[in-house]
Amino acid sequence: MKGFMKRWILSCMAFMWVSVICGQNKFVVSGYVTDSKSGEELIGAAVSIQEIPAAGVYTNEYGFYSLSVPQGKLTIAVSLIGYEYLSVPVDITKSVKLNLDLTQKITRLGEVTVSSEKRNDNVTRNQMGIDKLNIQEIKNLPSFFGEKDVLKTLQLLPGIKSAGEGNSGFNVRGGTTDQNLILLDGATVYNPSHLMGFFSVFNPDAIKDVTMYKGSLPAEFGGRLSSVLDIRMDDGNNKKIEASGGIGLISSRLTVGGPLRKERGSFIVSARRTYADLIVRGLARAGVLNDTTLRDPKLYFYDLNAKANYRFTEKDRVFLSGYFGRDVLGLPDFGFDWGNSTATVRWNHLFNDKLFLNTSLIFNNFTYTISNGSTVDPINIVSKIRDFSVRQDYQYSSGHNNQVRFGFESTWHRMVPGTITGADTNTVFKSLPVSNSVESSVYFSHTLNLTQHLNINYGLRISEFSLLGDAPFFIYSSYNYADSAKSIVDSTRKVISYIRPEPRFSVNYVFNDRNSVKASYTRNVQYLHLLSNSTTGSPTDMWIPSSYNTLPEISDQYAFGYYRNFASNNWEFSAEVYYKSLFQQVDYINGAILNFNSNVESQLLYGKGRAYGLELLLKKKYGRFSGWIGYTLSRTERRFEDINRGAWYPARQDRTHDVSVVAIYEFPRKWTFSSTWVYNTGNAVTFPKGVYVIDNRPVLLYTDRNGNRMPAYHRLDISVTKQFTERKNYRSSLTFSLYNAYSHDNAWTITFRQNDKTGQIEAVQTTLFKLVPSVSYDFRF
Amino acid sequence: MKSLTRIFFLAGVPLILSVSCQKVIDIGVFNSAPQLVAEGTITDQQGPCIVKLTKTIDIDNFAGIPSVTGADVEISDSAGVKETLTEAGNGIYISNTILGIPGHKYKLMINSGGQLYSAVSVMPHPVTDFRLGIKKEVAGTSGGSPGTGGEPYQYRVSYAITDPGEYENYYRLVIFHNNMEISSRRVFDDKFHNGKVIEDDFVLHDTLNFRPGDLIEIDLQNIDRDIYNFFRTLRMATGGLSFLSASPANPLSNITNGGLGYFSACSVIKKHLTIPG
Repeated sequence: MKGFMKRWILSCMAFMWVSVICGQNKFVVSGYVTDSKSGEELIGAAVSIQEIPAAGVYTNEYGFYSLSVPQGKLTIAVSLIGYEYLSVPVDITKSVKLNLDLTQKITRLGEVTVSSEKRNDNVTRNQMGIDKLNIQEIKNLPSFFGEKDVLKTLQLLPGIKSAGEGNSGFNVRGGTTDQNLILLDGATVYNPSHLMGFFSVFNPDAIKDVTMYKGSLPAEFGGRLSSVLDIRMDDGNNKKIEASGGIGLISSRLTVGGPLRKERGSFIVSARRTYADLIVRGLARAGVLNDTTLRDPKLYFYDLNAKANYRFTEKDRVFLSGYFGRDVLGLPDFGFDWGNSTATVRWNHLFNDKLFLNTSLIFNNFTYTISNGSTVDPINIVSKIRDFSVRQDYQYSSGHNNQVRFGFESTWHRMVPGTITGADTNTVFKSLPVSNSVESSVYFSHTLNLTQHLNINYGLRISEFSLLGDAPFFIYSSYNYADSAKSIVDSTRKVISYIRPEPRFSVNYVFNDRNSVKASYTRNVQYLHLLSNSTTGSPTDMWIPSSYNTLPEISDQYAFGYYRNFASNNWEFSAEVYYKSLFQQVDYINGAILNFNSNVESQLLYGKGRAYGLELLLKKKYGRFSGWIGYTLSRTERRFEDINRGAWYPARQDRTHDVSVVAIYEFPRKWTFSSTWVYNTGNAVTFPKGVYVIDNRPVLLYTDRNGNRMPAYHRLDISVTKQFTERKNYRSSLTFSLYNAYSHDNAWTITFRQNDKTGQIEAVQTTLFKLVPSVSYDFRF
Repeated sequence: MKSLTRIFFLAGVPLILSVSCQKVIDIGVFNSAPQLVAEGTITDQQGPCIVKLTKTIDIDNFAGIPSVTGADVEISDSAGVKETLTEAGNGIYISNTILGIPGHKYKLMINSGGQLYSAVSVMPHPVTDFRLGIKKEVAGTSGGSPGTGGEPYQYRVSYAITDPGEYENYYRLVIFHNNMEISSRRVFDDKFHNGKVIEDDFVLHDTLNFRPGDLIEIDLQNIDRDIYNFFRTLRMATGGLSFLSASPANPLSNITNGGLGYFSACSVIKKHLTIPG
C-alpha cells in the first residue's frame, strides 16, 4: 500500500509541472470581475467588446477573464444577472490588466432602458444542458419549513426531478440519485441530505454560485453519468466585516465574513443548527407521543462552512475552504450519527494574461456510526468513504476565438463499508473488507469560434480506475449467488483496472443575437455505485467500487436544443431534446441483502437503460416580475434479463409530464411575493395484483416490476417577504411561507392492508405534508 | 429493522406528526392468473405431515381463498421412502406413515390438473441446547408496545440457543398460546453468532389477553436456508419498512414451476412456559 501511495503521489506531481509553451501575438485584456461592495469575485459574468460583438468570454470559477483584443479605442462591457451593466472605454496600446467592479442592483425603479448587450449568454454560450442558479433567486422562493434549499430549488427546473415528497435527492434526465456528482468547492459530497432527505446539507448563506450540468458535461468533469452540480462557497467581504443570519421554525443560522487584510483577502464562517429534538422532547413530555423512549432524544443536525482566501501577489491567490456537517440521533438504547466533512486548498496562479492555472488538493469524508448506546458494553459500527484528490486545471485563451482547457485529476478512494468495535463475546460479526481504489483522469477541451455564427467545442477525457488489493475479491458466475463465487483473489497490488475514453463534442450555431441551435454528444463513465433499495434513501446506503463483477457504468447522451430570446433579452426560451443510452446499470435480486453483506455483489443484477425527453423553459429574468415555466416530457426505461422476463420496463423515476411554474414579484425594498406550482405524473411503482394466504394470513402477490403509477403530484407554495427599513446598516426581513397551500393530498406511499371489518384488501394512501405554514426572520449588518 | 423504523419515525416526527394523514383510496381493478400456493412441512416429530394447497386470487376480491382439490401429492425421502398423501378436504393433504429424519433430503411432488410442481428441502440436525425464560413487566418500559386491551403488563420471553459452529444454522420460532398458534414468522440465522450462544428476547403479542397459568409452547425449528429465505423475504414483504422498498417482490419460494409458498423439512424442539402470576 505504501509503495503504491508513493507512486501515486509522484506521478501526480510529475503532471503538475508539465511545461506550457505559449506565444503572444495580440494584445490581451485580463483581470477579475468583482462585486463592488464585498469585493467578491463573480463567476460567469459576460465580458465583451462592444465594437466586436462576436468576441466575448465568461469569467471562470474564480472570477477571472482573459480577452484577446486588437489595438485601438474599445469599450469593454460586463453583464451579470443581479448586477448593473458596466461598460468601460479603454485605449489598447499594450496588454493590460483590467479588474472590473460590478454594482449589485438594489432598486429596480430606474430600470427603464434595458441594454441588450450580452444578456443573451444562454443563446451564445456553447455549453448546453446547463442551469445556473442565482443565490438570490433561491432566497426569494417559498421554502419548506422556512429552510431555503439549493437542491429543492433546482428541482423546479426542467429535467431535474425530485426523488420524492420533501426529498432533497434528485433525478436528472432519468438518472438515479447516485448518478449526480455533487461538488462543494470541488470536494465530492457523497450524501447531500440531512434528516432522512428532508433538508440538504448546503446552507444557502454560505453559498455563492450553483451550476448544474445536465449530462452534457464539460471535459473537466466526470465520474457520474447524469449530472454535475458544482456548488461554490461564498468568499466573504474583503472590504468590511459583515454578519447575517436567520431564525426559523426548525433551525437558526449565523454567518460572519470580512477582510483578512483589506482588499487582499477575506474569510467567511457560517453555521446552522436545527432544534428538532426540542420539538420532539416537547411533544413527548406533553404526552402527544406515547413512546417513553422519546422523552429524552437527541435529534439534530448542524453545518459549519468556513472559507478564507488571500491574494499573495497579483498572480497568486490561495483559497482554503471546509465544510463539516453532522446529523445526530440518540435514544437510550440506540445511537446513529452521520455526516460529511470536506476540505479544499486551492491555488490560482496566473502564468501570464493568457494562461490561468488552478491547483486543488481536496479531502472529503463521509461517515456514519451506529451504536447501542451502552456505556457498559458499547458496540459501534462505523462506515466511511474517504477521498484524497489532487487536480490541476489549465485555461489558455489564445485570441478571442480559441479557448483551451486541460488538466488532470486523481482521487484515492478508501471505502470502509462496516467496521465493528467492542462487540460482545457472543458475536462473531466480522468487519467487512475495506476497499481502496484510485480514479484518475486527464482531459483536454478546445472551444473554437469557426465563424461569427458557428462555434464548436471538442474534448476528450480519459479516465482510469484501479481497484487495489488488501481485501479478498470474489467473482460470481452469471447467476449471482454467493455460492457461485468462482475464485478469490487476495492481493496487495492492483487487482483490476479499467480505462475508458470519454469523448465530448458540442456545436453552437448562432443565427443572430437572439436565436441559436446547439447540439452535443457526451459519453460519461461512472466507477462508483450506490446500493440502495428504498424509495427514500438512507445514510446506510453503501457505495461500492467497480470490480470484477460490477463494471463501470456508461452513458451516451445526444442532445439538441433551440434557444430564443425575446423582448430585449428579458425573456428567454429554450427547447432541448435528449436521448441517453445507459449500460451496466445496477439493480438487485428479489430479497436482496444489501447491508453488512460481505457478498453484496452476489445480490446485484446488471442491465441497461434508455432515457429520452423534451425540455421546454420560458423564463423572465429581469424586472420586478420574474420567474419561469418549465415543462418536461420524458421516458426512462430499464432492461434486465432477470426482471420482467427481460422486457423493457419503466424505471421508478420515469415520469411522463413534469411542469413547474415559478413567479416572483418584487416591490423594491418593501415586499416580495413569490409562488411555485409543480405538477408531475406519478412515479412508476409496483402494486400487488393478487393475494394469497400463508399461515392464515394474507400475502400480496406481485407480478410485474413498476407496472403501476402513483397518482399525479401537484402542489402550490407561496411566500411573502417583508423587508424592514434599513437602520444604521441593519437590514432585516420577515418571511411567511405556505407549503402545499391548497393542502392537496399528495401520495407519498400507497400500501395495502386487510380491512378489519370486511376482510377485504384495501389500498391506503399516506400523505406526508398537507398545508405547512412557516415563518423565518433574516438579518444582515 | 426495528431500529431503522425508529430512526425513520424519529427523524420524521417533527415534520410528519401533525401533518401526515392516511386515507383509503380506489386504485382500480387488478386481475391476475391464479397461481398454486403450497404450505408443506415435514418434521422429525410424531404426527402427520401436512401439505395445504390453495390458489391466489385477485386483490380486489379477497373473500374465500380457493383451495386446490383433487391434486396428487407425494413426499419422498432421499433414503427411498415414498408416500402419497391423502386428501382431507379444504385443500389439505396429510400423510399416514412418513416420519422425517434429520440429514435426509425430502422432495414434494404435486400434480394439480396436469401441472407439475416440486420442492426439495433438507432436514437440518436439531440443536441440543435451547433454553427459555419468561418475565412479567410493566408495558412500555423498553420500547415494546403497551399490552393489549388496556392490560398494563406484558410478558417478555427470552431464549438462548447454543449454536453449532461447524455449519450455517437457520432457525424459526413458532409460538402457541393455549395450543393456538399466535406467531410463526420469527426467523433468524447464525451469521453474527456462529458457534456462540444466540440470546434474544421478545414481547408476547396476542389478540387475547394472557392470564396467569396460560400455557405457552415455543417450537424451535431448525430450518434449511431456502426456508429461512422464504420467511425472511415474507417478513420483508409484509412488515416493517416494506412500504419504502423500491421493488417489492414475492417471498422467495422453493416451489418450482411458478408455485408460491414453501415446503420445509425441519427438526423441532418443543419447550413450554407458563404465564407467571
